[in-house]
Amino acid sequence: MKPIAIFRRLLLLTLVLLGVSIVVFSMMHMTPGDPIELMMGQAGHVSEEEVEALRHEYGLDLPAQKQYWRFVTGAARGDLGLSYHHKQPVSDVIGRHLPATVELTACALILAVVFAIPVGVFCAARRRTAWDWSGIGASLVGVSMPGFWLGLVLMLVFAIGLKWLPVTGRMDHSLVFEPRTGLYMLDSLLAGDLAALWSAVKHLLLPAITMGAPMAAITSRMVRTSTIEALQQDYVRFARAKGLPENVVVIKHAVRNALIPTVTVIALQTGILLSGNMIIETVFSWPGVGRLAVQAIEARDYPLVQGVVLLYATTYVLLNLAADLLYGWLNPKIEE
Amino acid sequence: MGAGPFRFVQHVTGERIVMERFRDYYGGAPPIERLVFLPVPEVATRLGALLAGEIDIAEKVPPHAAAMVERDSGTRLSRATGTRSFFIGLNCKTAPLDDVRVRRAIAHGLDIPRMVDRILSGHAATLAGPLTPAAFGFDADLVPRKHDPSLARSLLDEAGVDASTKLELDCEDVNRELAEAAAAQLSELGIQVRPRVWKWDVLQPLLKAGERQMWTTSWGNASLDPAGILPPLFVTGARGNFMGYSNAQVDAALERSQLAFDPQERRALFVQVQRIVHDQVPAIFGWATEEIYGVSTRVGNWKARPDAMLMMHRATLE
Repeated sequence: MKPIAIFRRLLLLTLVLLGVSIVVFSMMHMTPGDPIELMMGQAGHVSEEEVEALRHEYGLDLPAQKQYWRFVTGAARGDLGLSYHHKQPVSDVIGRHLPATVELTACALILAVVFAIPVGVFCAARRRTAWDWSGIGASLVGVSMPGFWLGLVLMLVFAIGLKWLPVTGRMDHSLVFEPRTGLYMLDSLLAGDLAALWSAVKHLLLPAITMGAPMAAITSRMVRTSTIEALQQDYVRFARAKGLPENVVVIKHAVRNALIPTVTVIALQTGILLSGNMIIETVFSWPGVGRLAVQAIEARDYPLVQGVVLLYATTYVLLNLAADLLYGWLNPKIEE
Repeated sequence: MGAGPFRFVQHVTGERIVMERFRDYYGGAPPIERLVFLPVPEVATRLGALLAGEIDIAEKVPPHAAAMVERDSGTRLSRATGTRSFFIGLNCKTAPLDDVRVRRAIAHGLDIPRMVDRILSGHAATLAGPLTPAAFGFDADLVPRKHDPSLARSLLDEAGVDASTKLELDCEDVNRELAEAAAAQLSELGIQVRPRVWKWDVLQPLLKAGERQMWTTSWGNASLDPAGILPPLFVTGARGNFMGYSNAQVDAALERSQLAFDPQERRALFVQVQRIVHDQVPAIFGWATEEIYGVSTRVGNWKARPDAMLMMHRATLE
């Protein structure tokens, strides 16, 4: 991709973010619910004057367009405002929750890819056999299962039944552990603390499997289809005619080309993984951005909801851009 | 921080709060060395963590799950009647609920003890008024209205309410079954009642605007003093008075209660208010749910409290 094209895409990102912010702002303000009333809860005897003073403090007494303008101009300067609920800058609140989500998403992604590519290739190489049908069936189940259900079933079997893995949190609470980057696996490695590393891995497994299962299912089907297509190409026929062993033909010649479209699917799926983490993080009490978003929506914490949605939108657009760049790098013919 | 039996060690936002034993505590060092508070908002996950032995005390066990916790060999229940009273608010400003006879009819049409027994598995105490038994000024002489469908029907006839009357009963998802049961019981009186499930953040502004008819809700605080309950609920125009209820005697009594220093005088004023609202039925007072905790059998010398405070000073852990 040429630099001018990348620049154009980044410019487009600005427009996307502007559009997303308008949609989210409008939807949040059109939905009934008053953040100040929710904040006050049942705080005993509170006068209307006190409620109004708080509304004024957060600028909620301004007309909607003024509130939006304040938000946009602030965001352009890198100031996403103050969270009503946390009483702290939105960027700080998101920053504290982001490492947990990044760690979970990365692990789900790795698990999904490590599982999906071999299975997809294996099924393609044994097309229309019992292995292939089993693979297709398993991927159908993986796509169809709702995340919260799979999460609860895994919890029931591996945590409550077998007691192999923990149910909640990111680290065994008996361990005294001071996070540095917020990525617990990395932190424990940096600290050389193997007990903490093992605990972090154990806590990650169930949510990562739950999160990665649908992605693994979709990706394995994609790999299977594109490998089957690649196996029917002339260059594969030529490789076979040269007398190369079948596994070399499949892995060296077919799979390399079949993985090119898969890259796009993985990039798009990663965006979906991020947006889908709201349910998984809630089920496993994972203190990431997804659970934060759910709490922010329920509390009508407008600045925080806007911040999280902008983060999701930026990530999604950048992942798409990365996929396009990678696509061109893997297949220079597209670049031409 | 403070002078309690435990001292603050660590707070990882959204993840945990860690406290450790304060050996020099003037009341004696607690037996438990370390306390970790974990936020687990999802009920199934919280119970899962308890049953898996990952946590030792799980709060807010729903009544339907209490038996499961009791059955497990590694856990037990600890219960106390809470300080939060649950009721069905009635919009006193719009017809037909602006007629006290209709409100009384609805109160007689509901079989609250049966609902508590069947839906809350008996984990609640029925109430005659807005205060729970442990509250200051609780009027123990008030008796809940009796379930009497024929009296209810005659009151409705008297008020001219016929079968064409349609009412909506709003609730949050957590109270869905109770609202459905209440709607079914009221439909037996010959009026059409439809339950509707809402998210509280959406329902609240509609209630405030006086746009709804009936809703399940609750109010309470841990101080056990009616000052935080009766004035915001029943004073004319108060911020929690979604019923639109207005009574000069109630307003005057509650205003006086906030100025009075004499406990006996305050008690008498609160009793007066409870009797008036019991008679005028701006809400159908229902029940006080139990604070139900799932507790690991490793935990000793600890029990649930009505104010939901976790007193861990004397608790032990095997």
